[in-house]
Amino acid sequence: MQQKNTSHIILKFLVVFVLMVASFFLLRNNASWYQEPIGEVTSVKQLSSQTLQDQYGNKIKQHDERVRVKILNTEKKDQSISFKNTYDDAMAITQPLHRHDQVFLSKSESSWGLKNFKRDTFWVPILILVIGVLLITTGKAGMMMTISLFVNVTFFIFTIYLNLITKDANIFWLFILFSLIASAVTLMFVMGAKNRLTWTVLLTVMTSTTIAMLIGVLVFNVTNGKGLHFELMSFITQLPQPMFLSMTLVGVLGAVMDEATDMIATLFSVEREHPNIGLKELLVTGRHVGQEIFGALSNTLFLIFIAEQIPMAVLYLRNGNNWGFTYTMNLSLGMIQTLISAIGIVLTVPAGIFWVWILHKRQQKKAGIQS
Amino acid sequence: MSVLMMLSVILFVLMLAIGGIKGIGAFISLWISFAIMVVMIVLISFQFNAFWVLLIGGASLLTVTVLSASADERTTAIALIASLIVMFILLAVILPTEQITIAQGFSEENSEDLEGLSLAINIDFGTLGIVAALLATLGAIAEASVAIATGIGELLNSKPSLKNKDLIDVGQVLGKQIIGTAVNTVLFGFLADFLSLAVLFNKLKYSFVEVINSKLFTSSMLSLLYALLGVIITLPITIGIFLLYQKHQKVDYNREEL
Repeated sequence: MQQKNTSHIILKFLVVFVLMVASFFLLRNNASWYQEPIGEVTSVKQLSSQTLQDQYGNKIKQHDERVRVKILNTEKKDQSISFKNTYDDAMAITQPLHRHDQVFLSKSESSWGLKNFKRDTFWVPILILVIGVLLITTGKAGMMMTISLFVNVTFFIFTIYLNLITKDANIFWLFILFSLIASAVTLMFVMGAKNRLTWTVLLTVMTSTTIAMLIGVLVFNVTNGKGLHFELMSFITQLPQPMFLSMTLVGVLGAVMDEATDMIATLFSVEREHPNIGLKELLVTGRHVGQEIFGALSNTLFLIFIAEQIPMAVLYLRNGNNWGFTYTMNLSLGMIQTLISAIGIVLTVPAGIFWVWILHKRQQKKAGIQS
Repeated sequence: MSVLMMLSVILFVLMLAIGGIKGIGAFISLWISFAIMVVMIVLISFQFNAFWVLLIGGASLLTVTVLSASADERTTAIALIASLIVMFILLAVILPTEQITIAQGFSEENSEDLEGLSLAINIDFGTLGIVAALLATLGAIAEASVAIATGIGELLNSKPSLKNKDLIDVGQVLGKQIIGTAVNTVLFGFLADFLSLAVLFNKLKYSFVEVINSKLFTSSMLSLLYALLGVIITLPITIGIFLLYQKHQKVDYNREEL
């Protein structure tokens, strides 16, 4: 039995591995699917190197190379072109090219240049790996998780699209709508639509996120936004405050659902065992479950929000900026996002207990009328 | 009072009111994580070996997150060992992937942020990309392993006679629920990070092909995938460590009997 199981799992991993390799080869050979010109590097010749030095003590080498590229698609197919590629050892924006690299090419007037690397070849196999491992370890439940992931991403893309066609009417309202639909759909996928748990968790999620966002906005107003630099957000093309609030709302949603599900599931099982449970017992149990989770969840979001700022923060420090300035420019908004999220995570405990209590009361009343 | 100060005070009061002493622990753990992150960034910018900083800093962040749950000794030990193992496995996936996808550093979309900065610094952005990608996954891993270890521990306390095989089965059922919700924590966390970039791509009328091959999309996508993978493999590894721990305990117990 044990043996059969093991060989089963090995077989499944083998299938995932074969799919990964297959997708990799497909994406290496699908240049004809793209309208943008794609080329493969056939040779690279080092031309020269020079040392770059700045006033902050950074000293690195910059290299020039001559690259020959064979075009793989469009009407220029099979033509060979060449251009100069310049890169430095820090590789912040520039990169060296290697033989067999596939790249998107740009054409200006008569000369060709490097536009971008073809990267789908590399992340799609990893996507297959992750979904494969998810399905192998959790089976049918993993299937539901995968579908729910894709549905949520689709909603997300659609919301971004709505923001564009409504001419930025107000991105925050759009994402409030997104949050409502996404959390309802996610919870239904995890627990089913007819489950009392689903709706109690949804009410809790709505309550705690709403209050957390209100606290956030209130604090912005009371303090006149002191220490709040929306203008420092990256990739901003519209009013930054609604954008920041949207990011905070979306970010905290998953964590609050996570916590509310754990806590309310426990409360329900306690309620089943003791149908005449009082508010006091609910409070004790709810607090007990909540306490164990909220620190870890706040840390989880903190790391997701802050980690991606590390390269930029290091760049600032290496450019002779002091720590205070580096913090303000790169980490302050992430910290504020973390704090508002943590407030939402903590508030989930009383919000959950409140809704379980209200629904419990209602049920008792109903039962009372019937008897 | 600044926004940060006031929000911190509100969070402190709420955590104290709702979590009591443990709530204060959670509050402090958040700031310890922040301090560790600051020290890591400063050390890396002083050109300390980024991999050692990452390993030591990463292990510290895992420890802080696991401890913030203030679970019992057994749960803490198991969760800590399991999440450290997951961290090393993820590192083994991240290292080669980041090397070949060349999605580190910045892109032309960042040009506004980069104005006036010298990009030719003594630190390789490939390594920085690996640091950022691994750290982003750690909270979720620690959270999932604590939840799984706690759940199995509670089961075992209520039914101490549970056989190993049954333990694996119930652990699986319980773990699936934990992973199902943890996956969402990770997904929405990363969607939030990606939001402003997605709006920008949309505004600049990037084609589908341009988006899925762009550097910033690829690095966000990969970070999300690493974190999901971390959370998923936490389940079998935590159960495995739990079984080993049980076995160890039984041996010790038998020795005492003798």
